[in-house]
Amino acid sequence: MNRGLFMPVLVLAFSAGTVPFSSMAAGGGDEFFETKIRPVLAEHCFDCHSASAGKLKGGLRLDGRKELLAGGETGPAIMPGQPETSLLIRAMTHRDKDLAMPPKKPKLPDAVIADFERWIREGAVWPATETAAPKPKIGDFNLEQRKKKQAWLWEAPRRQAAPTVKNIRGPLGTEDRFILRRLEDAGITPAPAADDRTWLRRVHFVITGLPPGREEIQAFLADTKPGARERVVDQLLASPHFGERWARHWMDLMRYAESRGHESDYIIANAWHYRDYLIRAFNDGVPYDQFLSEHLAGDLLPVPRLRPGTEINESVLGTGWAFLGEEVHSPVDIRQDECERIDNKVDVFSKTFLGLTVACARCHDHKFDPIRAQDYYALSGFMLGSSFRQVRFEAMENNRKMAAELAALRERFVPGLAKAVAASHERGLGQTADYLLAAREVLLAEKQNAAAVSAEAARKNSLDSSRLQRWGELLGTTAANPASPLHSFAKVALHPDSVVPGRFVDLLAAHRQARPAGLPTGARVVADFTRPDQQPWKVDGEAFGPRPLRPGDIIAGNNPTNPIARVMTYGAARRDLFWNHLKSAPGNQNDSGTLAATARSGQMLRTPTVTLGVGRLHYLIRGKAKVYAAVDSHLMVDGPLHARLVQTFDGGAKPEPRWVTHDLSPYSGHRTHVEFGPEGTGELEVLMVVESAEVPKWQPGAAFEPSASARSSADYAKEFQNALVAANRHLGRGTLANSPESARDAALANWLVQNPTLSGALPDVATLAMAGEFLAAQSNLASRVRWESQTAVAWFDGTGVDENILVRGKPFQPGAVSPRSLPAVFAPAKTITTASSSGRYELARQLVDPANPLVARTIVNRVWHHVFGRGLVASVDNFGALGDRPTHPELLDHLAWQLVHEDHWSLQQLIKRLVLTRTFAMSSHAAEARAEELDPSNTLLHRMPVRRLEAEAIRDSLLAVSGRLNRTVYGPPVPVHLTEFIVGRGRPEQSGPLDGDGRRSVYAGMRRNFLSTLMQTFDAPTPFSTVGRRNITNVPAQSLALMNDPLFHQQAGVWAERLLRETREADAAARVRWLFESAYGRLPADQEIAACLESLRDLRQLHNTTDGQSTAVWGDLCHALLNASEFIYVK
Amino acid sequence: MKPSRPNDLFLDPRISRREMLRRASNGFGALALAAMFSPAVPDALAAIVAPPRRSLEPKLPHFPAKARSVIFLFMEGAVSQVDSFDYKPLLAKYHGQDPRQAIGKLEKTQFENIGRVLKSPWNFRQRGQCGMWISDLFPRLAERADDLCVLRSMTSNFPEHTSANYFLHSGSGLQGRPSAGAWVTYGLGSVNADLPGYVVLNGGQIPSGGLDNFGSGFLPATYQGSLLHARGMPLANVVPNEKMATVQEAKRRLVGRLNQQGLENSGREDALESAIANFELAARMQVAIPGLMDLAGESEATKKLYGFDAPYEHTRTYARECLLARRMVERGVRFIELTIPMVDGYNRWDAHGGLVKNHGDNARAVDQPIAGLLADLKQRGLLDDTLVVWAGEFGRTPFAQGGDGRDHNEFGFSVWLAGGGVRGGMTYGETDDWGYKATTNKLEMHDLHATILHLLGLDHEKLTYRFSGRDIRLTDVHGQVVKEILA
Repeated sequence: MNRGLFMPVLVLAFSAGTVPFSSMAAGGGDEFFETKIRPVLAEHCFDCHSASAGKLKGGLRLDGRKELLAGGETGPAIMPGQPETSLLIRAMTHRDKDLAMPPKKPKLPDAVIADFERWIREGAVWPATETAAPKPKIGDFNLEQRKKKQAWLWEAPRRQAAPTVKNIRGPLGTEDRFILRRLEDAGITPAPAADDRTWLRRVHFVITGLPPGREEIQAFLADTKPGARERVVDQLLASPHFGERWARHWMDLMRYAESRGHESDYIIANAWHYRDYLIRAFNDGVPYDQFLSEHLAGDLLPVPRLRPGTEINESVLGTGWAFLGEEVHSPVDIRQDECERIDNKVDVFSKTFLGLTVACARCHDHKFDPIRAQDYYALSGFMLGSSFRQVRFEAMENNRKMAAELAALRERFVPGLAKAVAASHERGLGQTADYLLAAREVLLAEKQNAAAVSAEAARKNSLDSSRLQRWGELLGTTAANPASPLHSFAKVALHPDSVVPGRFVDLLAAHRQARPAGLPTGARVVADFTRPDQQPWKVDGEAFGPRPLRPGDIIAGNNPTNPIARVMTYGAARRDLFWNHLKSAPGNQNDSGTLAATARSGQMLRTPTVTLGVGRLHYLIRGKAKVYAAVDSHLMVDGPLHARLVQTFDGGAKPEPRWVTHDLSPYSGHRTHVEFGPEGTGELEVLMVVESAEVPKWQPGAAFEPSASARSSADYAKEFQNALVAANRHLGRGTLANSPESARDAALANWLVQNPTLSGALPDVATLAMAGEFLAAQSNLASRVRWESQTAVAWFDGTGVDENILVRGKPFQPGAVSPRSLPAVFAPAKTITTASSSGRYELARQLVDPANPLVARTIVNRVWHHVFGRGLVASVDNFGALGDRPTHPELLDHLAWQLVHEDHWSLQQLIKRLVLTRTFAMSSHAAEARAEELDPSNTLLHRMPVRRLEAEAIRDSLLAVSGRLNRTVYGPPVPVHLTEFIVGRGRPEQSGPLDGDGRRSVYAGMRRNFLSTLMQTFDAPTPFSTVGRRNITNVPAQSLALMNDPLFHQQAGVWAERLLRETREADAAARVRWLFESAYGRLPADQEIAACLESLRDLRQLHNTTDGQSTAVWGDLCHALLNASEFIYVK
Repeated sequence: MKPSRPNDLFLDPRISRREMLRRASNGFGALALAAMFSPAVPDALAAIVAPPRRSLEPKLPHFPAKARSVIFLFMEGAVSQVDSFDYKPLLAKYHGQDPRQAIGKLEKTQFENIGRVLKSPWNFRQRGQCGMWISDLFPRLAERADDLCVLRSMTSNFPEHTSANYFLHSGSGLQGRPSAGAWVTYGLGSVNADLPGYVVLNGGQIPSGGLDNFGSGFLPATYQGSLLHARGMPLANVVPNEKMATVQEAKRRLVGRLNQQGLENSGREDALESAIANFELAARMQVAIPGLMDLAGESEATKKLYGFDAPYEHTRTYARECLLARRMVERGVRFIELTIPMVDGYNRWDAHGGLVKNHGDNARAVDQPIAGLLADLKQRGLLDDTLVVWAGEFGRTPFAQGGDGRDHNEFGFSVWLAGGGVRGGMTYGETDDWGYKATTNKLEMHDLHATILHLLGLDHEKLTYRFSGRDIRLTDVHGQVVKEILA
């Protein structure tokens, strides 16, 4: 009790009443009830024991004092003042098994029970609002009411009339009027105009992040013609440094990094292409609607944007952002891990593009905004319907064209070749039955008599003896080859009993029964390429051709004497060996882990996404495949737990496909799709993916079967011959796929082209010439294919996935399905139902719809933030109820409307408008002291704020000023210079140069666990989620860096050498002026020159030199100038 | 010489709230500048008493605190509870049997290589007045049993090192969230004007998950852990590059004059003022940190107490860390974390195989230094308001992984607290008969965090930071203060 009395006194004395401790300490007070009792009741009891309970349990309500006293079937729940005898306490302590509450759950913490005991002991006070507010439930959420709280936010931006202002001096832009009007209303005079040098330094940093050089300053000052400022702005926007600066802003939103963090910091191979994509996009003035669409659906745009003058696909690079986050290798709970990753994607997406924190709604409806848990899961679906790939972005457009040409080429030649081949077979097919029967005779004969029987058979039917021999050889192996059309003949007619009269029919019937029928009961078909028209075709690259092949499709080969290599006897996704020469360009990085995405790039086939049942997948394939089962989209496959996700399977080289089994049974109940890629250079055909407990035996039915009227081998042979002749005709006419017996005909035609010598056919000269022409054209085409490519991180579109609402965000508690959609509060939101795609393209369309209330507002606000130091909505990533209110709502709408309807989403145009305003040209000195009083935090923009440069701009300035800046644009990251303070598991093997090769900071390597200390010190964000507004801190580590970081010392020396080189004849004062102009963009005042000269004298003394050209002395002076605040601040 | 310990505002009745506010809001202003540009000795600056700094200035706790500093002894890799603080005789009885028979259904483990029930190779004895069971793994530490408050029912949400490390440090299994040390420094600031508020002493092992374990996440960078190396250059850029100190002083004089000029040019500007303040703080740190690291003033007896003369190299390393931790406590550093030395050939406490050698060597490295630290803090009267936290990211299985190792176990393990307002000589919570899962008074990481904050005078539900429109806490939406262990 001592404490109880003592504590409130202390608290009141020292926290001035911020903590309502007095009421807490008084025990049974309202505060105690509201913080300790009611929330517990609401969370643990009300579901079953309140007015809002679905089904009231035990007749007991706990949502009011009256109700507690009345109790339920077992009597009153509480006896005020007597916790010992209160049933509620007995239930909570789990003393009686039957009464234990909450049921089937662990006991509540002892501290909570103690709170209840105290509450009852002190009278069980229940404050006046008798009925407790129930916990919000999905059904309770009222969208319209929520919307009303911020009605303006959910309306599309409207055109705004420019406000009238009284005090017009000089030209005034529309934007200025909005600012000025608010200042006039507040009775504040805006700051006067900044001088030209201040404006120039400011605009340089805003647009390019680099200080103006001395020559640029001189040129600007010398340009006295009207429009000088506009000319500067145009030049800066045209400079490649503009893109570098603004790409870096965008990278903060995309939590850009080049490694996956977590334990071992595996690299994200080739992530930097996304960074270069951003720089190019800004420099090329890509309109924001296009830019956004590329981020969401760059892989799905009907017409991708190409890098000017090339065939390089730019659009697809925009999708890389999705995979720049953290990835965990070998997580034990793989589904939980997926939920975290998806959450991160939804978070980045919604903050960046919508200015909303939708991720808050993962566990329950948003507390304040009109966002339901359902909306969160509706967005998750878009992320779940696509997977990770390394895309051959340099080559893909070229190859898409080449693939089309290849298809056209084949269409032009193959029918003719097939016709010629069929014609050459035609002549020899009339004797098929004779050969077949003769070969049978030979095979059935005693070994020692075979030669004689053969000779006799040949003579009797005037058959060619070597051809007969080939028939014999073939037939001899056919019994073991179920895919052969003669399989049943071999099984039946070569059976010793077949010579017994009448037995033939029985044998044939028995054979028919022996054929395996359908799939095992309970089997589920995940993908069926044998029925190509019913299968969504999801491939990366051209290696599997434009579509699955159908039975009867004709495949040309590389042998002019046998130009048709194969006729498809079943439907299948087939690797086209034409594409066998795909290569990774030199310097391209290999993907981490066993997934090895780089190696699979451009040659992948994927199935729809399914939820695993028994978890045993069976693949019917021919040839070798590297298979990735993307269970829970886990891609950082490495380590012991999930190695089975990536496996190589061999379906064999025989003509018939084979079932192989991928045992994913530990993942039963998890979502997955399967990706097939080739392994090695051989053929690969994928027919079917089936899930079932047992291995299926089903094979595509393609074998020839005689009719029911066939009573003998001779009947059989005759029927076979007739069918073969018919199939050959279909082959020649190109009607295989349409024939009434297409599967049989395809099988026969294939058999024929695979065994050309059986018919004795020889191609004629014309056929040879045609085949030669075809092969020459094909190899000419091959020479124009872009075999080598860099690869980049990108989305690989899959099939539609609609996520379940997860109750309280727990993956093992799936609720109702939430179909893919923008949050319902958005006017253009429409459920997206497409099953054959993730639906990201449709989503992008809804986002850039001018009716969308938030997309344009969010981006103009971001630009405003970067130009003026603070957004019109200061919380740039959150326009919702918990964000800041706009300081100038009409201006925000004006800018948003203008961007969409007048500037065609051009951000360059927007930036230009803003930096040419009079507002931007204000001094950072307030016009009057009153202004600071009336607008102390400058929310009305009565002056331009003084801003500290960002980490990158500080380092880039250093290099620019010293003259070391290497202005190379684009390219692989420069490794971070490793110090003894950049440590940890997975540390890069190579340290980069101290000066980062002189490159701008945007090109520095971004290994998640090994970020540059200097950048971190100056508040470069940790890349984990969207950061639209960086922290700006003042910490001693920053000063220590300026004072002692070797880079600053090194560059001070470089700068001093440059000074002495460029100002050989100048005196010390002139040099000081030179230095000031380089570093600060202005000339020094007299007392500053004096201070520097004095310092120079001191330094010369300390260095014990009288040399006016001493680089040591000048280097120290330069270093001091870099340490002054002005170097890292912009006015 | 014992440096006088800086005062926290809330403990010093002589400073009124009004005075505190006046100090804080008056800006750096004239006083500091005047001192900076006085022609007197450059160290005149050091004479300024604790100039308030923008973000690290001391702040009031929510209520009176028990502890002023935290020393976090992070036992990375996960110490086995059943070989240290959680005595389970049943393991000996069932040693060598199939755990699926003896224990029943087992949870998934990281490696799924489940061996036999494995008894502890170390003997357990009752220690101290309290009679707490501690094994011979920590012979010296066991002598301090009466100072320890062992929580035997701790649990974690993650069975992998990295996520669990993040969880232990930041209350979230994901990368990029503020570490507890950052939260504490954010909540309380620092009473030492010359040192960072949150210091990580690097003994050799950087934990899985890297420096993000000590990050400030979305909190301002001011609060992130400063990694100090126990040997060599302790902190990035803290040692001047100039060959002569006088050259740096000359430069600093010039910078001071230019900054003053800049301030006059731009009028009063908070950002510029605090940059100037930091510039001078940095200058003082160049003195303070080497002073901190210089152990010349410590007596031989003190060094011996920590184990500076130990034959084992890693004991000596950790002894140095522990002594430095005490010196930082004396200087008012708010949150001090020690990482363990890189014990030869071993991966932290992560004994997937060779339990005896792994735990034996790791214990050898830390046992005496920790016991020495507790003794030293106590004899100097510092233990009462210094909270010592000893914890790994999870525990280990009571059954073997393979033959002679133990796999990860997040379902029940032991951590201990000492000093700083917790009751010594007690245990709290229990695991089942196997030491496998917490059964009684089960604790979550959030409860540990809530309790640490509570001892520091912070209400974990009120210590929030608004990020992206949400008020975020170290304990997310969880956490209960473990009241039963409060002294």
